[in-house]
Amino acid sequence: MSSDIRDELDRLYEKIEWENPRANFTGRVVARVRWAKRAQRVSTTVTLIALALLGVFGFALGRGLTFSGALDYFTLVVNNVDLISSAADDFIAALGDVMPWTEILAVTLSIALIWTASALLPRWLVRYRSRHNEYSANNYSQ
Amino acid sequence: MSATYSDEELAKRFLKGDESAFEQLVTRYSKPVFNFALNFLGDADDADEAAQLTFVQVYQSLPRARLDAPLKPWIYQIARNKCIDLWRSRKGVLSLSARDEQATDESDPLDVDPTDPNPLPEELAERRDLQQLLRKTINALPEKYRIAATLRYVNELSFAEIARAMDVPENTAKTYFQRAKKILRKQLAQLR
Repeated sequence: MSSDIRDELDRLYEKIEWENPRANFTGRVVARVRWAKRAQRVSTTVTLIALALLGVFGFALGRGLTFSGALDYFTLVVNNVDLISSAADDFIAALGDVMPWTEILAVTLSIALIWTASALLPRWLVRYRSRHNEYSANNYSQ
Repeated sequence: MSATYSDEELAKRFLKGDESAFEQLVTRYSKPVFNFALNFLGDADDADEAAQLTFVQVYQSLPRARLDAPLKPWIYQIARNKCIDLWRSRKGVLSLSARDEQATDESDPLDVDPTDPNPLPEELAERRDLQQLLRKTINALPEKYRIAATLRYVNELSFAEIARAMDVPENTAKTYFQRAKKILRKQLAQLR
């Protein structure tokens, strides 16, 4: 503030006093950093597992689409778009019968697991950490 | 011994694997960051949380930080972001702590000298009132003015540092501060 002209208001607000942070602040931060590192490791591991699962189930889905004949239906509809408008119900019913639903479900769950592990899990762990902060800080200081 | 290291030297030591350098940074900045958060958020519990989250972020982001620039405004930039996140997550329901909301004295708190080393009980009460008043008025400012005023008055940053912490040009930081002062002056006039 010394380089500027200080007025009455500046002098008044310079009277704001500092308060001390809560006890063992550094210890609690270090404990939290360690927790964040662990949480990151868990998140990365689960994400990698989910990605591997997605690869396996994606491959299975591709095989399922090919061998069940569902892919032929898609080729058919690409080549003849009118089919949708003329016999939509029959087409959807036929497609529904041959679709590899188990593999589709597995792929969907894998994607959900990736999202949970990479986005939700870290956030949840941070919140959990926040609630258990005092406990871990005590452990750190011992 | 550790106090002789600059922030940037500590950061470099940390990046070379010295975890104690990070702890020294936390110890050095815990009080200023906590008080920035306290004056911004107006609540000690939230200030503690915001300050902790700030240092966790510092730890995680230091490997990507520019060490050719001063570290101080960067740390305040993170603190500012954490405070804003926390403030918004509470959707403005944060209020001054119960401690700050207590006690209204008939005397004018603006006349108190907080530097008195041996205050009388009534002087202590007046000093507390003054702190309450100053925090309350800063807390009532719009977000960007509150940040500028807090960084200037509480943390005594230069305008160049405030500009870096707020990620705005220096003249904009000065404008924010001047507007904050205008509002503070108006608030105080209404209180008198």
